[in-house]
Order: sequence, then structure tokens, then C-alpha cells
Amino acid sequence: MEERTPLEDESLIVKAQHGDASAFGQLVERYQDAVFRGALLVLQDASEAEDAAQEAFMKAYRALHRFHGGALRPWLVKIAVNEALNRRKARKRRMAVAQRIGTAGETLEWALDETLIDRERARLLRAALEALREQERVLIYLRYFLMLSEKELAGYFGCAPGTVKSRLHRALARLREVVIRRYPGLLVETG
Amino acid sequence: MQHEIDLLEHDLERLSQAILYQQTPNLSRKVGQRLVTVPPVGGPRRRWALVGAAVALAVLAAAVAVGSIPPARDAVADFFDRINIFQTTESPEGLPTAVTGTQLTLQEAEARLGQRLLLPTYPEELTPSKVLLQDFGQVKAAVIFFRHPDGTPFALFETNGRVGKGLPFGRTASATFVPGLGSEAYWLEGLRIVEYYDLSGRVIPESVRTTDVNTLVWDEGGFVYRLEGQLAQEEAVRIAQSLQ
Repeated sequence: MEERTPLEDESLIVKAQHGDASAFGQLVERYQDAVFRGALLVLQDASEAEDAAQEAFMKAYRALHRFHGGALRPWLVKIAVNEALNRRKARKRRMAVAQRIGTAGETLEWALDETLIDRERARLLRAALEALREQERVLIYLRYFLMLSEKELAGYFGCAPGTVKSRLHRALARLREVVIRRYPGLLVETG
Repeated sequence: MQHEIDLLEHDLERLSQAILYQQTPNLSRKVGQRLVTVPPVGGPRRRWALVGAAVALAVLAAAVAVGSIPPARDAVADFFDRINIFQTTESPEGLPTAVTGTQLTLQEAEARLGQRLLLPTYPEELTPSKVLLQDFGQVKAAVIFFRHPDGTPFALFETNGRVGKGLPFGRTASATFVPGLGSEAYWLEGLRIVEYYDLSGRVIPESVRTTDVNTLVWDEGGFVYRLEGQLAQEEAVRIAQSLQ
């Protein structure tokens, strides 16, 4: 894993804020994985996620003068996730038309390393996640799939780290409720 | 409870590590190409950007007001998350009306669906008279038939996920929001077309049918349930709230 110091980001941000597109390009290269994956988790469609990620970077560039320090990664991920959520809502509105003309897209199947988790268990867990409320699901994606720290999440939500902790606990408790109701097999311990 | 949460947390970590993400597209190149056409960032553009946004909003508001944006006029409730209700001019003529499926026991239906079925605990001593499984591939629904103590038959539909969302209805039908049940709930009356959607949002042709039976549809825990029967709304809600 590569480490980045805030100072490196900071100097690139200042350059980009003064119109240096190549400095911004370096920031894109640095954070494109997190931004793309954030959009992909929400949209479950690689092509749409790519569009959303591109648009998120463009919005970030236009809004860079409003960025006043702190960690850049959660700020960019937030723009991407919001963009993806908006697109997901728009997609739902389009579905009524798309299903009639047969152009609705396929849901992305996750490719998995099955030495780490059994495919069926992964499928059920994913189904349980899909059953959560949007904000709970997003929080879990951010914490466990994009590995945002509690401090980064506090920046993302604009709240205290303690609040992040309690929101996370509530989201996991809701996941437990869904699992108990619908997928009790997930509570059977495996190796 | 904490042990179960720890177990799920552990599973989430394992799942997260197991996902083999596809390679991230080269966004820096694509964004770089687009940046060439964008003026440098900074303060002076902001005021104009805000004016632009205000104008766009005004245009949008005007368009909605005069009805020139059809989705706002025609889609009654497509902005809701999981249950979509549309007005449609489609004729229900010729569409099937019967609820069909394979007759199974409750346990068999549970096994095929891969999840526990919830049953009403009100009215007391209510027992299923028949269970059908509707198997549309990815999408499955268990239909459990009951007879109310007053003699009214009704059916409870339980699906295996976020499906069963399409509920187009004609001009003679009505949909009323029902507060206090699940995350959203509607009471539907009149002649309507019912259809299930697959996981990518396409309508499943074999699922399409019509009904004029009173229906309570609601979303709870991310699952869509339907209660169909000529019951009064209050009674249907009471039965729905008793599911365990």
C-alpha cells in the first residue's frame, strides 16, 4: 500500500486551484481507484460508474476553490457517491421506459476470490446489504469496502467521530435485523 | 447481539477483501481531456455559475408548471424508492387475471425462496389454505392464501428481494399512501396491471396480470409485500402489522 502525506496533496491542490490541470491530473490518478469503486458499489454497473467517476472529478475540479484543507479522499469519494446516488435514482425513473423497450442494463456480478468467502455466503450478504436503507448501505460500503477511517468518515459526514461510530453501530444492527429475518444462515459461523 | 454483529462485521471484511474489482479505467487521461475545455477554477466564475443554476431551475420549474415534462405529469409515484406506481393508458384487456404458480408446502416454498416466510399472527389461528411459488428465474414470490374469519379470502405475496415494484394502474384505479407501515406503503383500489421486474429492471412478461382486488403493498426491511383481498384498509393494515 502506498502512503500519501497530506502535504503532497496540499501542494497539488494549491496548484490545481490556480488552474494547473496537470496537478489536478495527478490527484485524479492518485484517487481514481477509490472514486471509481465508490461509484461502482452504488451503481453496480461499470460503465455507469466510469461516467459517474469522471463527472465527479469534473465537479471536484470546478469546486476545488471551496476545498479548505483536510483529507481529499473522503471529499472526492463523497462527490462520487452523491453523483452515483443521483444517477441510481434517475435510472430507477428510466426503468419504466427501459423495461418496455428492453434496454435496461444487467446487474453487475461481483467477481470474488472464493478462497476468502464462500460464493453463496457472499450472495446472501450482498442481498442483505441491498435490503438496507440507502444511507446505511452507503455507510457500510464506505467503511468496510472503501476502508475509510472513522476520522475520514467524520470529514465525509461533517460530524464528530463518535457520531460516526454510533451511526455505524446502528447500520450494523439493522443489517443484523435483516439477516435474522431473511438470511439466518449467515449467522452460522464458518471457517 | 454483539457477537452476531461481530460475525457480520467479520463477513463484511472478508467480502470486501474477496471482491476482485475490475481495473479502474484511466480516468486521469479522460478527465485531463475534458479539463482542456474547462476554464481554470476560481472565484470570478462562481457568480455566473450561480446565475446559470438559477436560470436552469426557473426553466425547469416553468416546464413542470406547463406540463411539458411528461414524467412529472404521468408518473404518479416513480420517485419512491422501491414501489413504483404509474398511471398507464395500456389496456388490461386480454391479460391474465389468475394468480398462478406451483403449489408447494410452506416449508418447500421457504426452501425454494431461500428465506424465511413471515406469517400473520392476526387474526388468531389463521392458517394458510394454499401456498404457491411463482418462479421467474432470479425473481421468485411465495403466495400464501388465507381465509379471514369473516369468510373473505386474501393472499399474501412475499418476494425474494427488491422486486415486485411495478404497479401500473389505469384512470379508474387509485393509490393512497398509508402512513406507519414499513418504510412506505400504499392502498390500491380499482382495475390495475400488476407486473414484476427482474433485478436489472426489466418487466417479467410471465408475471403480468390484472387485478381489481383491494391491495395493500408495502416495503419492509427492503422487501416488498402485497396483501390482496377484498378487506377493509384498516383490517389489511392490521394483518400486515402482525407479520412475524
